[in-house]
Amino acid sequence: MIELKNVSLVKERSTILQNLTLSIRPSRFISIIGRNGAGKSSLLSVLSGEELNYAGEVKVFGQDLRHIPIGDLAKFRAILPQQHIAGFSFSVEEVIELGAFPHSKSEDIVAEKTSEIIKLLSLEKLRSRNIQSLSGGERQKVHFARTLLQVFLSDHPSPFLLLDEPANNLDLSCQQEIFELLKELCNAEKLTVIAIVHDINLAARYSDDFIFLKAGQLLECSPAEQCLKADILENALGHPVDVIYHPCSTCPLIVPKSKLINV
Amino acid sequence: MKTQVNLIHHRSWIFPTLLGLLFIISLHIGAVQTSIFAAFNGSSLQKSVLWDLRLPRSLGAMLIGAMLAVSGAALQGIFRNPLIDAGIIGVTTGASFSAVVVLSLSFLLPTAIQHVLGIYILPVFAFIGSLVVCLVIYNFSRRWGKTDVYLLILAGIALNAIFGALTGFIIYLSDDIAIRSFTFWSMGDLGGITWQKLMLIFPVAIFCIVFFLRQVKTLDALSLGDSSAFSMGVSPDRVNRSIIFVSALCVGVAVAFCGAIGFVGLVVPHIIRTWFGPSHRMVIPFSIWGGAILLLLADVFSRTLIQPAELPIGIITSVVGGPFFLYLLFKQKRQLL
Repeated sequence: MIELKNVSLVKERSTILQNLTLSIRPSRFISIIGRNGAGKSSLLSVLSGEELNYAGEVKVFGQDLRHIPIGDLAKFRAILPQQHIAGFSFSVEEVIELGAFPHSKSEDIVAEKTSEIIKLLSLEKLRSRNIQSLSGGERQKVHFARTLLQVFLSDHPSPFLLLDEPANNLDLSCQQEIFELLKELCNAEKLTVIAIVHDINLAARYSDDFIFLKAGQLLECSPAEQCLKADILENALGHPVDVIYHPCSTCPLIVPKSKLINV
Repeated sequence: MKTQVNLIHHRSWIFPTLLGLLFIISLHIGAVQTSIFAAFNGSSLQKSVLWDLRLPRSLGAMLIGAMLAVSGAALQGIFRNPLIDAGIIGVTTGASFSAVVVLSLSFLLPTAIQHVLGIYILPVFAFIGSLVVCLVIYNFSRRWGKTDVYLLILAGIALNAIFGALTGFIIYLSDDIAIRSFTFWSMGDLGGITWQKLMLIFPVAIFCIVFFLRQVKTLDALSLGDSSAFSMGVSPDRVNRSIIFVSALCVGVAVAFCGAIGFVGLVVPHIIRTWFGPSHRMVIPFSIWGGAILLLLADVFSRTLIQPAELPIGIITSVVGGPFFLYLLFKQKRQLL
């Protein structure tokens, strides 16, 4: 579905991404993992079409990304940025409805889908609230809802979501709620999710595939069962870890080693 | 949502009605006693006053007011801040400086250029001045793809000071006539609008109004930040540049024909937002009506307050707009500090 071939990115004379070659399959939940400055956000910018000054080739459904007009791209891919700006006092409902911008859908369809998403994310109580008055976590949820509306209204058979740290500012319960919803959507709605995740255990629990980056280079791009191994994780995260398995499930738990606390 | 829509429907008729009434009043009131019916059966003086002075002036006031307000609303939209106004960020001063340069140093311009541009030489240069300031401000206030409001307002203060000083320097070297024209540029005056000038103002105003009306959804998308707007299929840089270009055109034409009229672009969109909400689907069209109403009202006051003399219109808009800006600053204090 998305293929990168020898993709490199240089900004202000420093190499941000170096010769990345990988392919992303549809209807999968893919987590991008790496240390700060590893090139995760830059990779997401390349995949979103926002950063076009890369060398190499990016193909989306067989089409060169550089040749897809951004209006067409927005019909099947949505981005959740890391930071959210609320310059004016839009209501929560108005912000979510902006997700319909790239689509030419009737007001009734937009209103119906908006209500569906509001219910799905339990945002009913915030519906009429001013976005500027919300907490960081609540805003994150509202913007997530907007990106969901954008892909929900898509006529494309396999839309994709690019999420830059979707768990930011969210409490444990909201993190679980959103990641479970994403996982369900991958399975039921053929949605592809590509997310930068810092919580490795959250990623391990829900992701199908992983992309590990280190200093702009690709360490690994493979299914979870192949890459969630101590040596690969240590190399990507820059910290020694133990990989143990949850006694009641097959989900791996990654525990960072500590000099002070012996497990 | 339905309640809000009803509210909007209830309020929307006020604008054209108010503008129509004000338009009739503006034709009726002035130093020469006459009624609008005298346009057809009055004396030649009355006919001349109505047809040659008041009608183009009132139409000009409406168009300039609409252009200033709608460009203010659009600039606030792309900078995502209701504190932005062409006057505050130095655009008006840049246009004034450019116009004063042309007036004072026009003898240095090649005759061919003067001949080609004719009476449009002033608006063309005022537009160039406002465009340069807009682009400098825009590029200066951008850091890592975001607009820094601190930098924006500080750069505006600096540019206002620089262009103000340069304008003053040119005037200092000039004669009495230039000094009088400096008063015109700094305080605004709608008295100079003629049918000939209206022939340029009208198509520019229509172009700008249609352009901004077509950007309402895009401006809403941009309100959430460049990255979110990009997600929705908007190319932020391209849209921002085109909005800056058209806003500069509005301010440039307004300054060239009417001098520096401040705060219309600040006050009107803010009032519209409090009445109809922040969506540009409301802010842009109603700012057009609101701007026309405000400037026509200010012009009526400027013609009647010290009759038979006239008060520069910029004084009236600044008397209203200055305290209003302080009020906005006070309201935004927490966000700014």
